[in-house]
Amino acid sequence: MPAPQDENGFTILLLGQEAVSDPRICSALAGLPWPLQLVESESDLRIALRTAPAGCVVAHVEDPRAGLRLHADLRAISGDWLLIMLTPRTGIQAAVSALKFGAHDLIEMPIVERVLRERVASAMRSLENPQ
Amino acid sequence: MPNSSEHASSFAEARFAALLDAAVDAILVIDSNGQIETFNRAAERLFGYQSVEICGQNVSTLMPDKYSHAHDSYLQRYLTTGERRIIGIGREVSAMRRDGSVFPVELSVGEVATGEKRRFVGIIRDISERRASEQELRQQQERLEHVTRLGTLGEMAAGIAHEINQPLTAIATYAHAARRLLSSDRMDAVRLDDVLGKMATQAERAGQIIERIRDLARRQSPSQELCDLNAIMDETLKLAEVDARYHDAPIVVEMTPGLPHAWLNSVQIQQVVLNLLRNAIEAGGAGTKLKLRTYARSKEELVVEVEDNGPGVPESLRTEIFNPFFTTRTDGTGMGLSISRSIVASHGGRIEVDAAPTGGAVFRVTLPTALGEIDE
Amino acid sequence: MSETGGIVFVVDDDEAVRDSLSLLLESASLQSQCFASADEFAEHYQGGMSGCLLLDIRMPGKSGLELRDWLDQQGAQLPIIFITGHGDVPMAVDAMKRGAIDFIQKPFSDDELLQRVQQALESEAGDRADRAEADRVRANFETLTPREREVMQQVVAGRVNKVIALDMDISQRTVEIHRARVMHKMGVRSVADLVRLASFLDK
Ligand SMILES: Nc1ncnc2c1ncn2[C@@H]1O[C@H](COP(=O)(O)OP(=O)(O)O)[C@@H](O)[C@H]1O
Ligand SMILES: [Mg+2]
Repeated sequence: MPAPQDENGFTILLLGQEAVSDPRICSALAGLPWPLQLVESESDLRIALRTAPAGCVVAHVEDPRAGLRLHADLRAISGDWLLIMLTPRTGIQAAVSALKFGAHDLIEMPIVERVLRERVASAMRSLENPQ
Repeated sequence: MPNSSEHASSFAEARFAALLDAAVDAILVIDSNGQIETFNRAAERLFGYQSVEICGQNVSTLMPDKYSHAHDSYLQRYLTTGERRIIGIGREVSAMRRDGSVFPVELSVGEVATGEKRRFVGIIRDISERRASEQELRQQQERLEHVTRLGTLGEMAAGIAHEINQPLTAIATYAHAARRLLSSDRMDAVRLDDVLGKMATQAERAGQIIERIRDLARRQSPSQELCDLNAIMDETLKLAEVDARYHDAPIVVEMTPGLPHAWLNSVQIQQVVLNLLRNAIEAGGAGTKLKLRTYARSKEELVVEVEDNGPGVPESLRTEIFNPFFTTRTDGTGMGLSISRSIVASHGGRIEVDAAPTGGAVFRVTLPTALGEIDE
Repeated sequence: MSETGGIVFVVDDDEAVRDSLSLLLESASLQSQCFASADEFAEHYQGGMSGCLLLDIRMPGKSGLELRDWLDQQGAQLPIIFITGHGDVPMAVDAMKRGAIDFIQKPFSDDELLQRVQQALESEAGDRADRAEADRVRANFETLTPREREVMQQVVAGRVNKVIALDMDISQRTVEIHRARVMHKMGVRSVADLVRLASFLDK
């Protein structure tokens, strides 16, 4: 799929097999006013990141600590990506370290569509209007 | 004795015997010595004796041992003093069948005086079925009470867990600190003693919370004791405040001291008030202001009120909410108020809801005092 | 453990938790002050306090999160470690997104707590030193004449005196005099130090 881009160049990348095949997650994000790109694996992510300059990576991670490596990878490629983790029931400490070490947000699965939409939208807006 | 009258009387007795045999209830007639004179069909079926074999025997044959001894003396006393021990309607006593099995009956006794002779007619109704269903009902109610009791506790669980976590945290922290100070030689015996004392206090604090929960969760026989309502409220508050603090719902307590005592089952009354407080927190959400009030309306009536400043109960629902299974909550059972009402009713009291001055709800529980018993 | 001079402000409504925490902090040679409510701390708060906050989230009255927002409005720079007995993941995420530096659950391990407090104090002390240095640099910079400022910018940009003299159309000797004054007023000896100080001016 070619990377769709809006004029600002901000894109939402949805990452992970579980996430892209979850209709509730996809429909929640597809309703937002930014282009959405589905990425199944992390190797595809590198390609996607080259074509879209900035935005949010919404990633399904089993363990938030595993998500931190993803965050480091993102940082290495470009500093303009925010990472939002979707993760099945996790402990408080894991969630706290994920945020401490740079994840922008963390949402527990199963997601509530409205919550996911609001949190991704607010992350995107913070990119559009940096203070 | 003239023949005609004897004839007339035997005729009357035959008609009486026929009437007796048609009766649904077991009926027997005894003379002043307790000897059985008449035993109807229903009595034969009920006790398993033939009329011919039981007539002439003492009525105590039909009673279990513990009553049978007393019976003769009751009769004697009645005959000499007129003191009534058995005469009357609807006493529940035990009876014994021919096979020795004991069963509950309702006994009504009437006196028939014909000339010099005094006789007694007993109407006996088997109530073992009624008893069984009553007992079942009571058991069922106890089970339900148990369930709602645990349900209320479940609803309070987050607050309770938090409350126990505090002393545990303090204990662990004191212990860690003491060990560090000891290992760097900065803790003398006096100071250590102080810290250990504080740890013990905190452990007791946690234990008290657990004990209170246990008391409530434990199934207790629904026995009523002469209690001070305010003392029960004090106990209730210790548990309720845990929950209330967690939900940031302060309870203002207005208890009138020196209330007359009442016959109460403290666990049940505690359960009712916890239920009402819990409902108020649920209706009003975090930040709800609660009031718990006790007072005497008169010498005969005590009142407990639970008031909140939540949304209140619309007038049209003020009876309905007490029905079993009525709930407006998605996770509600609708059993809380219905059980509360039956508990209050079993104390001879009543429960109702009104609008509070703040627009919230005020649930009012009215209970009879023990005034009568004390005066006697 | 390093000395930062910071005070650990403990805000918790539970007296035993406060008391035991202050003993634990004492065992690590850390100074602490306890407060029974967010409001009590707010009353005590003064700008320029140094240290960190150990803050219970759920308390009667103002909650820990509300106190954090209030401190933010006051422009407070104190790092906050939330402690909670009943947190869940969304609450932890919310607290972290709102700028807490850590979120710890009760009961906690002593090592973990002390380590995080220590980190918080060090980072606060570091920030505070940076801010103090930035203030000093800015104050020194204010004393420079417009000419001297121009010279300083050129020096920091890596130009040699000759180039600067040509660019500003002044003598090389004058550049040298300006340059010496800049170094003196800014309190540095080497160009490298000047460059480092100049980075504070951008902030
Ligand atoms: N304090 C209150 N304020 C407003 N409504 C209340 C209050 N207490 C009870 N109710 C109403 O009565 C209903 C029945 O309460 P209850 O029998 O305890 O069952 P449940 O709490 O499971 O719903 C509640 O669902 C609620 O609609
Ligand atoms: Mg209820």
